[in-house]
Amino acid sequence: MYLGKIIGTIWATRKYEAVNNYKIQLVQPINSQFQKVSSPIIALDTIGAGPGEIIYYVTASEAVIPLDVDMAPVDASIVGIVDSIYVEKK
Amino acid sequence: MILGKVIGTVWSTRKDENLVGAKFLIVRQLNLDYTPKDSTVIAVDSVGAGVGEIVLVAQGSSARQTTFTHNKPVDAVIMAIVDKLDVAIKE
Repeated sequence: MYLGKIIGTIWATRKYEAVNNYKIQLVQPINSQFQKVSSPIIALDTIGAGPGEIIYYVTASEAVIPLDVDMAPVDASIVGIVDSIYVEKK
Repeated sequence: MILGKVIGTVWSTRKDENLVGAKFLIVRQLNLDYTPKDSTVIAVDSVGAGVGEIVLVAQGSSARQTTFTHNKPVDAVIMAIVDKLDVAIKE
């Protein structure tokens, strides 16, 4: 799983029918210091997160597991909203 | 998923027999402001997209998670046509 921040939303009326009930969000991957890493990705929202929230997401074919359908062409899914992060200083 | 624009179609008569009936489109990857990136990908269409449309492409083994591409040699599939993209938090 990876940390990310939701930076926007994508609307698509026409999409693969198995994912009709899900929102599509733009996610900026971040590290544990909340700094941006790499370029934004597109992920399916399974928990009702919104722009500005820090979330974690799964990628690759595991992204289909949290959906309530057997098969869906999805390679990234948001699976949790972060309340807080504690990293011990070295 | 990646954001892209359909820029063309691929026809091929001779191909893996599992792929008969598939519609192959050439998708140019886009930045969030719709400026094109260098990379292109050949993707199987699962939603009825056409040339010029902005689409989302699922890649890797996830691309085999449709009824048509299940267990077929496909690593990119178009899974949505974008109506609107709203970047709420600018960089």
